[in-house]
Order: sequence, then C-alpha cells, then structure tokens
Amino acid sequence: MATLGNISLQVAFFLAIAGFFVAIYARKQSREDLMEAANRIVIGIGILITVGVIALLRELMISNFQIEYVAQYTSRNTPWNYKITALWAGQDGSLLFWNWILSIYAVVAVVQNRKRNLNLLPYAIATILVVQLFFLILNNFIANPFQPVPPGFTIPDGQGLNPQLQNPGMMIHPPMLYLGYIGFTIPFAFAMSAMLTGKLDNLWITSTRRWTLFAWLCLGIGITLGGKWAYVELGWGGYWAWDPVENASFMPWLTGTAFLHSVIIQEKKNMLRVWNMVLIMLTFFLSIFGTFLTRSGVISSVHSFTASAIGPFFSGFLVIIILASVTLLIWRMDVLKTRNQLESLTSRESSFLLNNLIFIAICFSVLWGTMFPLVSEAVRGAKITVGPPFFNQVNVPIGLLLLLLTGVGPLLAWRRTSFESFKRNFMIPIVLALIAAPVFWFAGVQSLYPFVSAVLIVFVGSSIIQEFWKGMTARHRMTGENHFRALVNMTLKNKSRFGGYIVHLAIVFYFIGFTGSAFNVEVEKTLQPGEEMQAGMFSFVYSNHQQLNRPNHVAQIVELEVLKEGKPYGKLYPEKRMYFRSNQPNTEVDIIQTWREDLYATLAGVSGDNNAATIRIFVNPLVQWIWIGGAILAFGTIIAMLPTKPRTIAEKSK
Amino acid sequence: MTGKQKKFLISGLVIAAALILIIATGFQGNQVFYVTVDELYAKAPELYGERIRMAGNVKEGSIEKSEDHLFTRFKMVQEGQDLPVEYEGITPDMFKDGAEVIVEGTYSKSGVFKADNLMAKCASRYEGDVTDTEAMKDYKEGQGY
Repeated sequence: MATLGNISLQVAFFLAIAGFFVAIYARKQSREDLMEAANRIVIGIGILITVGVIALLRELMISNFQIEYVAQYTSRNTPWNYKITALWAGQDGSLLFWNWILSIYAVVAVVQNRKRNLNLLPYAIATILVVQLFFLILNNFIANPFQPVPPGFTIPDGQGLNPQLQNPGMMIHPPMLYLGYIGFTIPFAFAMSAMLTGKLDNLWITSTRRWTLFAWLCLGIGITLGGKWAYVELGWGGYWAWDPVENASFMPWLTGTAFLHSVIIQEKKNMLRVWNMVLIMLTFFLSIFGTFLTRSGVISSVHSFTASAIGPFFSGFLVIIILASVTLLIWRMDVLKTRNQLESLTSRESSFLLNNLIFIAICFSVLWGTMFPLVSEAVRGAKITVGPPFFNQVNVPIGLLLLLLTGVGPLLAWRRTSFESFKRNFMIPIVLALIAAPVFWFAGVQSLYPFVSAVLIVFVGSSIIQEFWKGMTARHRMTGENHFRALVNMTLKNKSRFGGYIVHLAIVFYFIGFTGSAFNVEVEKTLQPGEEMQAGMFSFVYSNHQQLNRPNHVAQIVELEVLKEGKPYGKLYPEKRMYFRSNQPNTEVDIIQTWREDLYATLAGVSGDNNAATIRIFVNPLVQWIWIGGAILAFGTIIAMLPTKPRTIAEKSK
Repeated sequence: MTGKQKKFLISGLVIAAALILIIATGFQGNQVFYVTVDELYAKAPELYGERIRMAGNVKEGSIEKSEDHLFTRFKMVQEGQDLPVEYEGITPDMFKDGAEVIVEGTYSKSGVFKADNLMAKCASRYEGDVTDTEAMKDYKEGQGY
C-alpha cells in the first residue's frame, strides 16, 4: 500500500503542475473544453490524494512498523480509533491530511461552479492548485509519510500515541481546525481570480459566501473544542493560555470575522472593496501561517514541536503569498477603489468599520505578542517574551469594546441613525443595563472589567432579544401565526440577518464565561484521609483512596466528598495514572459541572503510608456558558448558511 | 477634503491611536526576559528582580520535595551549567529527572531561582515525544538523532 500511496502522490504532483497551466491557458484562450479538462484534473488530484490517505490509513491500521510514521505514532495496542487520529498526529501525516481536505474542497468548488461560474473558476483552480502543489512538494520530497525505516531494522512495536492525545476531543479538534484553516483557501482563490480577470464586482464574494461561513464556523468550533480539551485533559484549570499554537488559530478567526462583516458593506453599499481583498488575503495568509507555527517550532511553546525541515519551505511559501497578493492589489487598485463614502458616524456602516478596526487591533496585538521573542531578539539581541498578562491586559478592554459594538451595531440604521430611532431601539437595553448595574455591584462584582462586562452583557443580550421580539410580534400581528411560528418563519425569511444575531447571542454567552473567570478560586493542599479543604463556599473531604490496576496503566483514585455550606453536594474522583508503556504519569481531572460553576479537582499524587493526597481544587464560575455558547454559535452560523431558495421557473409558473 | 471626511479621519485616527496605546502600554511591566543559564550568570546583578524565563533539563537525581509535595527544589542543567531552582506548587506530570522544563520567576543574590511557574515541556499535542520504546531508541541512534 505504501508504494501505491507514494505513486499516487507523485502523479498528483505532476497533475497539479499540468492543471495549473491548463487552467490558465483555458481562461486566456476562452477554451471551454480545456476548462473542463482543468476541472477533471482537480477531480483526478482529489482521487489520487484520497488514495494516498487511504494507503496511509491502511498502514496505520495493520501496524506496518516498517514505515517510520506508523512506528512513531501507533503501537500494537493503540485502539483503532486512535490509529485513525494518528493520521494527523504527526507532521508528515498532518500535511497529507491538510492537502486531502483541500482537495475535497477543490472538488466540491469545481462541481459547484463548473456550470455557472466559468469566468472566475479557471484562475481560482489555478490558485488552489498552487496551494496543493506546495503541500505535494512537502509530502513527496521533504516530509514523506511513507518513509520506510532503513533496511535491516525491524521494529517489533511502535511508540504509541501520546496518552494525552487519546481523548475523544482530540479526534474532532484538529480536523475541525483544519477544516477551518483550509476552507479560507476557496474564497481566497476566488478573490485572486477576481483580481486576475478584472471581474471585481461582488461575484467572488457572493459565490464564496457560504464557504467563508463554513470555514469560519469550523475554525470557531475547533478553537472552542481545543479549549474544552485543554480544560478537561490538561488539568491546569483553564481553557486558554495564549500559547502560540492557540494564538495561531485565533488570528485567522479574527480577520475572518472582520471579513464576514465588511463584505456586508460591499454587498449593500459597494464600499470597502480594497479592504475586503486585504482581509481575505490576510486571513488566508494567517491560515497558512497558523499551520506553519504549529508545525515548525519557530516559536517555542509548551506543546514542544520538533524543529523540522519544513520551516524554510513554509517561509518561502508565505513570502510568495504576500508578494502575489500585494502585486495584484497594486495592479488593480484603480479599478477596485469606489467613490461611495460614509455619510454619518452613527450609522451601521461606521459601526462595521469600527468593528473591523477592533478585530484588526486584536489580531495585531496577538501577532505582535506571539512574534515578540523573535522580533526582540533580532532588534535588541535579547529574547523577551510576553505571556498571558500582556494578552489579557490588552485584549480585555478591546474585547469589551467589541462586546459593546455587538449590541450597538445591529441597532444602528444604514446611512444615518435619527435620534428618534436611536431612542426607540436603545431605550429598553439601556434601562435594563442601568437596572442591572447596581444589582451586580451589590452582588459583589466590584472590580472594573468584570463589572463593565456584566453590565454590557445585559445591554447586548437584551438588545438582541429585543430584535427577535420585535420581529416576532410584528409578524404575529401581520400574519396571525402563533408566536413561535412567527419567530421561526421570521428567522428563516432573513437567515443571514437573524443567523447573525444568534451568533451575537453566542458571543454574549462566551463573554459570560470569560467574565466568570475573574472569580476563579484555586486552592492546593495535601490532605490526610479524613481531612478537608475549603475553596469558596465549598469544602472537600478526602474520604477514600483506591489503587486500581487497569490494562495499560495503574490508577490512584481519591474520593472527595463535596459539601456546599455544610450540606452534601456531590463527589469528585480525581485520578493519577501511570502508563506502563511510556512510564508517564497522567492526571485525570474530575469536574462537577453546573451552569453556576465548575468544581474542578486534580490529584497531584498520593504518598506516604497513610496515603496523603496532594490535591488542587478550582472553583470556576460560569465556564459551562462557553461550551453552550459554542453550540449556539454553530446553530446560528448554520442558519445563516442555509440556502436562500431561489424561485425556480416551475414555481413561478404555478 | 470635505468637513465630513475630516470628521471621519479624525475619529478614525483617535480610535486607532487609543488601540495602539492600549497595546503599547501592555508591553510595560509584562516583559519577561528569556535567557540561558550562561547569560543569567554573566548579567546577574542587572537581572535581579526582573521577570525571567529559562529553559533547561532537570538534573538527574536533583529533585527534592517537601513533605506535603507542594514545595520543590531541583537543579536545572543547561549546557553543563547548573542552576538551583525552587518552586512552590504542584509540579506538572511531565516533571521528572531529565525532563525539559521551562521556569518563570525571579533571580536574586541568594543564587537560587525562585520560580512561580513551572512548565515541563510535554510531548506536544501532535509530535509523539513520549519516551521511546527500546526498539525506537536503537533505531533513532542508528539514524543519528
């Protein structure tokens, strides 16, 4: 199978080169037959890379340790589902996986556009093929997943997958991130094609609107799942550490969000055409950059990735992306510019502009903070890093501004907002926020940011609910449908608008969770059996200890009886496991989750004759809201993605 | 330029300036110096009290823990140089003899690095950096890893 995999990747490499020239020549000569040939080449490459992936999966499944990659990431006793995840667990496989997703996307884009978008498709194909070619070069010549171990070596058993990666979350989180990163390639390709062909109207945006939404959704879900995985698996009590790898996924999400908003202005007002080009280029660039950061080891991270040979290639590719983008942009600048201008500061348009400015500012601060060690080393000769304190100090106030805008923006009218409409739209949310403020204050929310955040959450939340309420009651009055029906139909009639509002609501949920973290409590203590420790209004009694021998590890399990203000509340069973194969300890967290707070317990170890247990307890308020926010985010985005059914001829004649 | 355009330009600039200010001030007081053991000893008096981040390996057999396991003393080795480190808190799973660690904290005249943050470089999310099986070790040695 390895030979088959190798051959198909090699053929795909040559096909990609051929397809690139065929697509360009076809467009130049307006030869439809050649355009169709280019389409088929894309499909052919899709099939070939799929064969490559199947071949690698097969080798992983049958544990063919004569292949280095298989021996490095699986062992005989690795469960089959984690043998599949080994496909993207290491560098070589993950690059193949990346390209495989892109090739599927490319096939879908071709099938979708081959009939209706002949103008833009060929150059878009050419762009996609360049990206595919890049990854094929890596897979064929630098990071070949089918690399055999040298002759003479027999490896009886592989190393196995890192136990921390053996978590269901890890089966979904990396593919989700990839689906997101890679999805931005399609809108980027159409943007490049729009520039090359000079068809600079809104076509490239409307043809890729759902691609953008889909990529954005996957990235958002991927980031959230990554947080969830870190939270339940790593045992340090948090979900986000501003680690370079996390930042790498956050940056394209930020620019992607800015892009989603600013294209609305282009569609409605025909403004910001240059800016939208810049944003999609930036988003694509950051997606590749993110893959690079995760894979190359330029920035050291707790997730130590080995420095590898692919670094220079990625740097080169990133430079090519920048050069190509900037050149095209300068070349088409005159055509792209529009004469339409903003009319008023208090308009929807200006709020979108401000939103863009803020997203870019956050992205810039994250990029700057992540790259700072490299920059400072080059400039000052001293390696200086900035950690979470920097990112929090900068991004909390900017984030709160953004939250405010989430509420204000949708209430402002296009062009300009009259005082009357301002009063009508803002009255209820402002009043509610003013009522909530003293309530929060006396409930003990008295430090600046959490207080502001709490008040804003009320303001924004109520402004969104008000929008739904207004639409629903209006429709109810007009059509006589019952309220629920009216709500559903109204949403389905304006999918992108109300889908967007649902996403805004999700953001409010995220912020509720973030605000809760200001009130986290953390306590560490070593307890003798029967002793107790206190954290917040909870006390934890060390009631029992057990040692269990399981097939691949031995586990120390501690039972903690939880009391809330003296009354029984529940039980926690944090574990410390020692895996036989890797001789590696692993902490298993136990959490009692409610909508109010998470009680999160980890066991650092059990020692001594009487089994003294060192325990760390976190009381983390409102964390659940983030995961619920993730689900709402997905729901809202899917609503916005649902096709708006065009009226067909058959329907019209009815 | 019309009056309206000016208004936009000015408000845009003010907002951009405010954002840049927030970012710039964020750097103050949040900088952490990344130094090697060599550099630390060479620049020692200058770096007293500064926040420092260092990377190295745990010296074999140097780990001492207090009775309640919440206080740890160990030696970090980097290119043959030793640095005594003290850390208060629970050590991560990967922290053991020979492990790669990153410590963050301060250094003082006492010659002991007081860490308040200890990260053991875990096998990454992706790269299976777990202890090699014997066969893999032989193989890697053969490959000149």
